[in-house]
Amino acid sequence: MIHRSRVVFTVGALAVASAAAATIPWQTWKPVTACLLCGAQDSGEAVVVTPTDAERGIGSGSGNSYARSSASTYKPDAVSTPTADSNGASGRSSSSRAAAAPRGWQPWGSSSEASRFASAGFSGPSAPQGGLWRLMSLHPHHGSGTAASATGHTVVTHAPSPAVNRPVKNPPAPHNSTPPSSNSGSSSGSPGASGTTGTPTASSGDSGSASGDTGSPMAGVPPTDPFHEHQTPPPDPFHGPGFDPGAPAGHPGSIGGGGGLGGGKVSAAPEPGSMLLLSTGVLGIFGILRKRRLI
Amino acid sequence: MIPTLLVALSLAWLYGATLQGLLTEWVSSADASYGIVLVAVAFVVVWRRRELFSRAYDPHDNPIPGLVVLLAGLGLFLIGQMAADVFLTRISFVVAASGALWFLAGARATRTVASPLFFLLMAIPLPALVINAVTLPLQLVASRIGEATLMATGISVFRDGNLLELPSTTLEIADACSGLRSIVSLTAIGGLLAWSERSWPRRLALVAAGVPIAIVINGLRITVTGLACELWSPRAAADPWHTISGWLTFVVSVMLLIQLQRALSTSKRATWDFDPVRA
Repeated sequence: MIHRSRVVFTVGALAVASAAAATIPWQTWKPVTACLLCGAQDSGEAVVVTPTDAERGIGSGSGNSYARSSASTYKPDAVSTPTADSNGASGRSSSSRAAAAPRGWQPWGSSSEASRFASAGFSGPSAPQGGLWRLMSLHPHHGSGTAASATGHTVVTHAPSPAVNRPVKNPPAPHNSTPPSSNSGSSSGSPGASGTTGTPTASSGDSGSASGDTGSPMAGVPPTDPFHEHQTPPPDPFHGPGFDPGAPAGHPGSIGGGGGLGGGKVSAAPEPGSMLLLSTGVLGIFGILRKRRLI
Repeated sequence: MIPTLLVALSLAWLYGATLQGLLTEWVSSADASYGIVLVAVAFVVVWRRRELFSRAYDPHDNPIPGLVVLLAGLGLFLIGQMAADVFLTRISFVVAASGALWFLAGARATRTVASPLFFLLMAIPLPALVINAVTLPLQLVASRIGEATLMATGISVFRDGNLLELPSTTLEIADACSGLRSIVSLTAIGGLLAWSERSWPRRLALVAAGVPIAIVINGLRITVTGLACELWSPRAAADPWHTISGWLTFVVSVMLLIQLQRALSTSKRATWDFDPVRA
């Protein structure tokens, strides 16, 4: 009887502990922005720019001042609807396009490209609104201000966007296209023909910058993107093929090769796994004890 | 049988996630894989002592000490859960199981399985806080030992922190070379050897002796590796030679520990099957 009551008490104590552990409020830390570069949240969702957002961003000219959207300052409300701005809002699309970035500033994302292109491409009358991007751009500017239509509105034509989910990093495209032409596709008043001639490139969705750059070097890697330089690591002069300054002459295939500090490779000296070690010891002890007839 | 099964199931239900994580770490981490061996040894010892346990079973024993241990274990579990401390939660499993055993079977029966419970306690991997704190000092100690012994053998060596610059190669005493695995494994073997002793000071001495032996032997292992690199080829620092040398040096460590036990044992040695009830 005593034993049974003890069993019941033990099981009850364990159940109470389980219930208490289950009621512990777990709080998981959720950063506002997991990635400072792409702005993706920690939910794992990809940065998606819908064509609607892009169109709304580029086509709208309602930005009053250039507002560089960052990860923390982006507000969906900043995306305005296309309106007819009679004040000649050509080039203001940079602000609205930047505001259309879904996750804020993306250094190599499509939205930042679009911001640059938009500001560099047709920001003539509105230099204060896109002047910084314009100055930073290495891309030859195409007919500033020529994108304005006769009515003074910014007319932007978008190439057909092949996919909604664009890669964040644009792969470099071979420069085998037609040579760049000055003022090519500056789309002076004829935006309908721009951006629709070639195969969709990585920036085709953003090339609604009315520049019609298809075929230019901008079709592949935007030269204004400083981050693409890091995709190719710089050559290491000390570890080139066939050159190993640390390798001793007498050991052509040596693992470590350091004649001096920092020269050559380093050989680590790890221990075997602990299971192997302990198994060895346990087997040895069992053997000894059995030999002594102790077990 | 049914009450025992009920308690075991309750424990498994409470500690299911904890034990699953423990098993995962044993399988995946080379630093913690020794736990599998210890658990196996614990089961073997329990199986061999099942008759003793049955004889020592006393359900009418004083329940208070066992109850205190059981509640302390559950309290540790809750603290570990609230603090998200994995080590504390794992430790609490052994404490709660010991308390439940003591509470249900009595003190004498619990003593018969004290060594398997101790092995389970040792099988729990050290917390990362401890590992991070002792790894670097162990690396430096091993590097110094290797530097001194290599210089004593006439080989020029320059130590830069945990790097040993030899004429033909550079040996890095990395985290995995710190000797921590040897220390943990040798301490566990010392615990196994200690349970064949009857004297508690000898038991403690055997367990504690594993630490200096492992540190010194690990330094000598690095020395042997450096010597082999200089006299033979730097390939000696790579597998399989390196694993073999590490294994051989550990065998030497175990033999040293056994010799120490022989030196300490002056009275009649007990066996793992000795009767602690009569002892």
